Amino acid sequence: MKKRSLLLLSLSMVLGITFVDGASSSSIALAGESASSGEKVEMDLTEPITIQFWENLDNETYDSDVQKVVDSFNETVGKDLGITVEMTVQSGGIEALETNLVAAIKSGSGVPNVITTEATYVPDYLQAQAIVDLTPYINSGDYGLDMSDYYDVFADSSSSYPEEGIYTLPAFVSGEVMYYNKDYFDENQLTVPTTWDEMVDTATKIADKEGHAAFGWDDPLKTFTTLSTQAGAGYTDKDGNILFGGDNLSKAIDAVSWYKDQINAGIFRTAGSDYYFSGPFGRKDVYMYIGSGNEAQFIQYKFPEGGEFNWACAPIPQGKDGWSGEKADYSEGYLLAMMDLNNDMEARWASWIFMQYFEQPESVKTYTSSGAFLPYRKSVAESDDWKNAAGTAQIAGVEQMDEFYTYYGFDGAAALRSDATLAMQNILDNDADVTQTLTDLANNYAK
Amino acid sequence: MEIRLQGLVKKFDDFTAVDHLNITFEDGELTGLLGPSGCGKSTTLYMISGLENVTDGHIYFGDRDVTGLSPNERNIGLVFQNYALYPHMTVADNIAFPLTNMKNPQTGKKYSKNELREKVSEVAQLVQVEELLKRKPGQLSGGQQQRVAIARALIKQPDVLLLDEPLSNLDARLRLEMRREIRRIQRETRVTTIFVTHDQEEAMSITDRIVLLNGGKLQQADTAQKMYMDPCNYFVASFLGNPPISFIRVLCRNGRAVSEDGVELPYPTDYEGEAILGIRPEAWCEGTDQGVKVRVDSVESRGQDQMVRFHIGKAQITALADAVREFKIGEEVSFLLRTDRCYLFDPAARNRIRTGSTAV
Amino acid sequence: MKRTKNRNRFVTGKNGQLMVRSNKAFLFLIPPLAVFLAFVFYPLIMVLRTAFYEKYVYIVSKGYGFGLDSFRHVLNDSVFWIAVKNTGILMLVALPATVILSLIIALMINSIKKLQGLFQTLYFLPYVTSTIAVGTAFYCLFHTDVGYLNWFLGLFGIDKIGWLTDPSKVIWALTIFCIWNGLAFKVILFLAGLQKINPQVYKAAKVDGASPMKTLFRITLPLLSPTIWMVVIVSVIYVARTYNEVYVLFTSVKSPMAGSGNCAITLAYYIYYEFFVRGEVNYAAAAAVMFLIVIMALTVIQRVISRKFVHYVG
Repeated sequence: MKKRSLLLLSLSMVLGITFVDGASSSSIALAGESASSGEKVEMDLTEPITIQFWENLDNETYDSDVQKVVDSFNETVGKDLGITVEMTVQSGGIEALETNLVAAIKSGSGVPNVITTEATYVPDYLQAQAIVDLTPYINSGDYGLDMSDYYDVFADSSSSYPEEGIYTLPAFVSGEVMYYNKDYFDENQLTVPTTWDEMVDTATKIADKEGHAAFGWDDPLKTFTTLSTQAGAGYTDKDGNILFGGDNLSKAIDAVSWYKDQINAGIFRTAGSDYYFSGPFGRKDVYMYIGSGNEAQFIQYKFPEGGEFNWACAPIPQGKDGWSGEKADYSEGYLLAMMDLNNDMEARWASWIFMQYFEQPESVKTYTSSGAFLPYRKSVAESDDWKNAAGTAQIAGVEQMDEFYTYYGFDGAAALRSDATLAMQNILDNDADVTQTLTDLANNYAK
Repeated sequence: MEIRLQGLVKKFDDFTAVDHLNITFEDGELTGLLGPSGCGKSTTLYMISGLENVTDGHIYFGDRDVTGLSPNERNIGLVFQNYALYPHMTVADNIAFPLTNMKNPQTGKKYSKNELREKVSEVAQLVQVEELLKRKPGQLSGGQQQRVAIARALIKQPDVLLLDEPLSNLDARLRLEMRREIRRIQRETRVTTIFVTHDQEEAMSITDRIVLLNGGKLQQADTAQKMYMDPCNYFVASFLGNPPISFIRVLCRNGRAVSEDGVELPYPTDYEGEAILGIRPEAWCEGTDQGVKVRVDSVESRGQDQMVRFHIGKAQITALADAVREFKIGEEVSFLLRTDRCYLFDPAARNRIRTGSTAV
Repeated sequence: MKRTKNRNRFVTGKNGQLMVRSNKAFLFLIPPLAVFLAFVFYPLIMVLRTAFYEKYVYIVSKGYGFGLDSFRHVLNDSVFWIAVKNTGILMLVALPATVILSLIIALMINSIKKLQGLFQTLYFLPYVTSTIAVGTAFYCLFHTDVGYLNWFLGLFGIDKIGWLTDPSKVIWALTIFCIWNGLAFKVILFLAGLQKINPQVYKAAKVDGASPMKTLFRITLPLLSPTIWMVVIVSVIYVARTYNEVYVLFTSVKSPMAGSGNCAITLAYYIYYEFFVRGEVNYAAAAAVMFLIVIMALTVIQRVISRKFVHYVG
């Protein structure tokens, strides 16, 4: 008797918990609606206020640059208005930041005021109503933001989210560049290719001479999205609709097939065991490769004993005979955003003051000086002191500003990204059929 | 099979456990290897078995020098102190195990299941475990386990059966029963048996001969009776006998023995000089005034007799007396000695002094 | 006047043990019970529930729909079947290999007298070494171009093998790593089991004329069988949950894929992949539920075998 009643009790408990939970929404605090334009956003900060700023770079050099901006804010504008910014570096990078942030949002407390994030995470924050629309702040009088100095691509992407509004501002931007072995090119009188046809010529010359592949591309996903865009298809629009399906599928298939043919011909290769091409590049297993501008700092560590050489960066090849698309180069960035769950207008205003300071040309100069990030403001990029201090990867990056595209943030972006990466890995490494694999991918995501 | 140890030595680093033993174990006899803890008796047994290496000397089984041979080449049976039965096998399998590792000498082939069953049954009947054949050792009592261990040792009809302190794990009553059983089995099979024990009563009761060791050296090898009656040294005298022998230091002169404290003992002797006098408890008889006068310290009844304790000078004496006579504590009694139960020992070398009047 | 208890506080339990009735006992049970309910029972129920959603938004903890959609999706996912295949190979190859190897090592260590402690320590070191460190070392071993293993094979004229890149080879790299990683703990377990065996039994076997081989198979191994069984049971669950080895050897800061095209993925990693990389919690939950079913099936099989073949001594 006892056993049976115990069993019934636990069974009903189980059913109760599972079905009760499905119906109700979670214990998120009644999130404040993002303030729409028209509502007053400028506040009088009567009491001193502390702003929590979470940053994800987790790199001594870069973090200290950002800290300089924070410190300078605290000593000037902040001091005048009674705002103190506390910066926390999330060790573990963007994933750690995201995990901690989601935990804070779900529990309703401990949410920071200002964060750096990536576009893919923003839709989630929109769903949780935790991220703030910056439009009224940008348009506010005394502390507004003039975005005419921004390169177009960043102005556009800041508002390309599932909901109307401007939810992020650019912060740490980088782009893909082509690294090449300058000494080798000089010795062999080679010119840096600017189109893919030139690339095939140059790579074939090198491969014939050295007996192994000459070129590689770090990330197979970028290979797909960049080539697909250059060939006239594309990746996705801002709502998450794929651009390489339907009529465009054949263009994407052509581009990827062409790329795979070069691998089969032995002139291009994938990174293989090394994951990043800086390793093979340093060992002279390839003489050119496309990778993020951030990689530049690591190449010096990949030279074997006595095997140093001079290298430089150039814009990536654009276009090929028969491709109808526009110029394209992948740019990624960590973006600045404002978070608030509680409709705390004072905190928002104080956060904005800081963010606006962060976006000023002087600040931009500070955190784009250490050789990785690109200034998203034309005035900084064109200034002499920035140009004189910039490294070769940064110069090459800035040259491609008009070609930059980014990955949009939409519901399901992570899943598409993983599946597309898998598809490309299977195609390029594991000899999968290009047509079949890309068709399957397009079909899975057709709307 | 006669077992002969010649000049047997065992050293562990610097420690000599067995020191030049020369012993013969007679064929068909049950010999007790007796001694206190650490005297080397187990080590000797294991050297005979082949499980322990010999540092020097030889071991002969009959005419065969087995000194360098491994245990299973010697054709021995060994019963361990804790039986060492195979816990996962049935009794029948345990007993049969030695035969499964050798060929049937009659057919030259491995033993068949039927042959094994027959042999096991035979031996099981001998040790009286026929009803336990399907059980596992964990389901047997101590005595039953030991019988199985003996059966396992005997099944291959060994030249010698070795037992290492077989009775020390059993309770008192079982001990008595099992030692008679061991005796019976040995008589029936007539196998040369050596068993190690530290219990002198056990050794005395069932063995044909006793080999007494101390400190790795042979003290005496003789029948129990002879060893008791005619010990060849102080140690032998002190080891055998319950209650144990009492010792007094004496000075023998002019045919008399006088204790250190000046008490004259009723022990006439030809010996001249200092000696240790060993007196068996049963040597004391209550006598006339010519005996030695002592005051009773304590009395302990043992049912069939009683132990009376008293002092002579500083020496503590235990005497065995008839149960009928009632002694009171503090009572003054006069005791005489039976000289055939008294022994003189050299105080330095501790060996037995034999003179005319003490010959038995 | 103290009220006499008319009920005997001492009770005889089922197996004849003496037990005591006590109401205070329940009070003591509440803390661990609370922890269990909060951290084990509730999450378990929630995972079950999530597996039946058709869509689940993690950040607001809202689920939509009810049905077997998630299960269908997982079963149709080719990556899932790669995970099943890899986990299966690990269980069929890595598991027996590890158990047998560690048994041999334990037997060898047990048979020497000098330096036994030294070897015990050496063989136990992998267990206390960080998996990341070990993984980095194995990465250097397995690297296609500059790895030691390919260099060694090259001495015999064998072409470079893509241990970490070739889909047909990654499972062998993973298996080797799993075997190496799993030896330490099992060696210690076997050593403990061997030391429980009465050493005189070996002497008895020697006297009874058993050859070393015979002693091993008819005496040592049967007496060790409870330990062997325990090791197998523990190992089956452990291998089924392989995640660390995959993460350490195949993923990188750049790419969370378990090898190119996820060729080295295992079931546990698949669950992680669906949740953390693709962000589809309901698929991860469905995979977890199916994983649970597999483990339960394995446990049932183990119990059946246990009754038939294991000799418990005592």
